[in-house]
Amino acid sequence: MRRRLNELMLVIAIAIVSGIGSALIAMDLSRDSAALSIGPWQAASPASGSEGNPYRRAAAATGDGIPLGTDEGIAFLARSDSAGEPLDGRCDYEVSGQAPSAALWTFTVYDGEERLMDNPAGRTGFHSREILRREDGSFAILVSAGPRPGNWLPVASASEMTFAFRLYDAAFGAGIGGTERPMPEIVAVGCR
Amino acid sequence: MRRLGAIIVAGLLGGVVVHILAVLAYPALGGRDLWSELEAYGPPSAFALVPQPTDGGESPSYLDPNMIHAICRTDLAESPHRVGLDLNVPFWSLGVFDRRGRSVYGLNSTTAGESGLDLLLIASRDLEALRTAPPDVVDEVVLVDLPADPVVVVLRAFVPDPTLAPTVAAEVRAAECASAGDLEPAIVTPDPLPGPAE
Repeated sequence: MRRRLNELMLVIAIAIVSGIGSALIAMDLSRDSAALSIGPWQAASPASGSEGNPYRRAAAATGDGIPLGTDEGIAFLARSDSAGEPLDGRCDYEVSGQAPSAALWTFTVYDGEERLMDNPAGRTGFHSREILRREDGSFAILVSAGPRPGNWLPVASASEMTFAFRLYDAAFGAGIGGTERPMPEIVAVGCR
Repeated sequence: MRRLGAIIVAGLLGGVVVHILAVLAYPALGGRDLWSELEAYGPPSAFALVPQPTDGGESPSYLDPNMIHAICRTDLAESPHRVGLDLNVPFWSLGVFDRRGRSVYGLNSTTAGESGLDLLLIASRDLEALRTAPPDVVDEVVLVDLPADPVVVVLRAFVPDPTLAPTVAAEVRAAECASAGDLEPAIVTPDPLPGPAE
């Protein structure tokens, strides 16, 4: 009798561990595959209530911050540069290229704790209406500790960084695959 | 040894059932609760400004510093809600999210085509009653048909330059998000009964 009970407990334990564990892994994978990624930039999956498979629905029920609806815009985050190296406050970066067409875009730098990066100049980003552009419409933002000519974003952090690129009223929906969409490149131009 | 194999197989079969139940139940049980997350910013049925990171104190993670954000929590099961705004900024956007933070409606200044906007967020079941006895106000507002659930309205107003922040904040503060109580009599009693209106 005692042995029977132990065996039953073992069956239940295996069921719970394997069931919950595989569900969490599947949701995590689903979150990644639901995300739209262009180079180092990743957009959160569009979290529409009723559509999609159950895994995506479950994955979409997580998230933080104030949400951005698909009819409002799309927010991309980058935690690594175009070469795949994690963004580091001790390195200088050039974020350059073209932006997809949108009514407005903003570029913002955050520290490793999801907060705006603190710096003496009080500048934490650029937006499409103030940025200096080249003749062909492309732009380059220099994220660097030392002063740089042009669109200079001072860095006063020695930790990880996250770049955000938000496209408001973007011309493309998040459901459309976007490898050919122009998103700026993030290139490390030197580390201290 | 054979017995151990049977136990593992039975456990894994049970795991399949647990897996399916866990994935289906997660959106309803776990996940985020946007409504409660935003409770600290102000009472329901009114726009509340979300503090900017530069104001000091706690602000939500990954907030766009170029935008002034305001949120309004309303329950459409109680009554329809009216959202009115007039923002003289280069860009604004409005999103409506369910309790769990999933988008149910959204638009922006480009799609709206003008600076001002008057919306009536209304539950589908109230909309039916409204159609049978439309009050005059229906002609002036854009009807947004939503489930009869709590919703979170998020308003973003673009601040092109930090010096304009106080002006934009004042315009956002003037935005209206209120229970459309004046519509209720018409909705609750659609029958055109003789006598004075309630």
